[in-house]
Amino acid sequence: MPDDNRTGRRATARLRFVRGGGTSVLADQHVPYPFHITKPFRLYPQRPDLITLYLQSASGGLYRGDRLGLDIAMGAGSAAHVTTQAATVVHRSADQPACQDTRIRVGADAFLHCVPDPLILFPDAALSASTRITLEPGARAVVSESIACHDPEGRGRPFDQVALSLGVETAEGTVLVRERARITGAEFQDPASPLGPWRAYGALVILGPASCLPDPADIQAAADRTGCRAGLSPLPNAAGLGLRLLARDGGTLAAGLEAAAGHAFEALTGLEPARRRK
Amino acid sequence: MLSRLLSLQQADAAFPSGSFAFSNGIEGLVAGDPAFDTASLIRTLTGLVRFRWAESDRVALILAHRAAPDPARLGRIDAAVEAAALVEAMRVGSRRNGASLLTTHVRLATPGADELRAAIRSGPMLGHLATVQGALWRALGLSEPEAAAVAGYQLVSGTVSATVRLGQVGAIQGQQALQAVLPLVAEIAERPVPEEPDDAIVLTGFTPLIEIAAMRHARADLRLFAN
Repeated sequence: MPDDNRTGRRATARLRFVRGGGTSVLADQHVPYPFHITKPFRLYPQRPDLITLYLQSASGGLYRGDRLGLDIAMGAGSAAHVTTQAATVVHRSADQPACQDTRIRVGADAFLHCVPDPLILFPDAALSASTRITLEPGARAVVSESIACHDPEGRGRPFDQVALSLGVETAEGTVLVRERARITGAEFQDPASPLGPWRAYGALVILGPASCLPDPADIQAAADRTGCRAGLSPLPNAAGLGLRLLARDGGTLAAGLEAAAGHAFEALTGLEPARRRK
Repeated sequence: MLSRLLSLQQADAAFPSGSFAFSNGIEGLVAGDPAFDTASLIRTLTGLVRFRWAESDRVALILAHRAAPDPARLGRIDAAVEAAALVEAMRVGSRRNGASLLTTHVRLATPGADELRAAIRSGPMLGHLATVQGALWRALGLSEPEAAAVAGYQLVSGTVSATVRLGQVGAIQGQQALQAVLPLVAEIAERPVPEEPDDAIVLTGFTPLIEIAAMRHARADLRLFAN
């Protein structure tokens, strides 16, 4: 079907953080509907250069044919924590998948923590979500992707399909990590599901020099304590650490991701994560 | 007929391919699930074939079959396999298994084996199992579907063998599981693979349960298999 005939919204939000005057500043923001952001918060008095921003959807989720993009650029030495207030629902969209593309560029010695709440796939939802991260020397980042399914009528109806892709590369274009996953809702819920008995999935990459990475055992234990099943591994091409997470539902998954990401945040910044109101 | 017989030779458990050292994550799954039985094995094999082998290892194998003996193109496929393998135990296992298979073929004087080894030693290639299989089996005269069938068979038979050696299922139960999944292997081995793209090769897979098991098991004190 030609692109012009598609329904849905086309919008790309752009956020550019820079370092200036001893702090990080949101230097540029282009936030069209349905995106919305809060003002930047400074939750760490001992690290005033680290700012926190909530990214919100003003429209109640992703709909049929949506093509939404999010570009985050971290200037050299800047530091930001971008999060969401709640999970994002992906509505019925089987014939025209909703697309969400996140492009992140982390400058030299900059830091980004971007761990949104899970995408919740409703019955007949179709989603294509990609995350591409470009790293300059000394860059550090914690970035997640996560999905769960939910039938509001409690009838166990599956989503249609989901495709997830994650790429990490250097500023010179050398590919460090490039994976793509694809599964239908029926396969997701099948007895032979690659998730086993679990019904929610998340991945987290902790990117940075080896010397600042956390102990994988600590993160695994933290995620396990929330009721998730977690595993960590060094990523290809010494990009950092990769976490896989399985949970029985989206709420447990979000808790596991928050616990794991919190440990990663602490390792990369030396700060205990602040309690965030949601 | 000769290529069929060569296929049987390559798939034979007596052929020193090096695959006996790898469980493809089964050892970790069994360690975390004492109730792992024949039905669990069938589900696991189905998942491995459908969600990893079909669009990842099989695609790399076929692209390597077409690219051989060009070391630069084979290196590009290797790089894609490397970047897509997030689990270190699987990634390193794939390279080690590729090296073992290649060593045997060098000793058997398989055409092109020496050149492959030189390309891995000098840098253009990493030597992942699927890439090495594709290049070697083309040199032996196997067609693309034959090469895919051998690789798919080795994956499932090797995983069954590992499960039997772990004592989790008996030999007959293992063969029942193998029989149950062979039709899926046959169907997928016949699927077409598009030509190598001009831009990046992207491989598709989704096996989080077995990957998490392999990640956790990689830090276990006692292991029978390398992954």
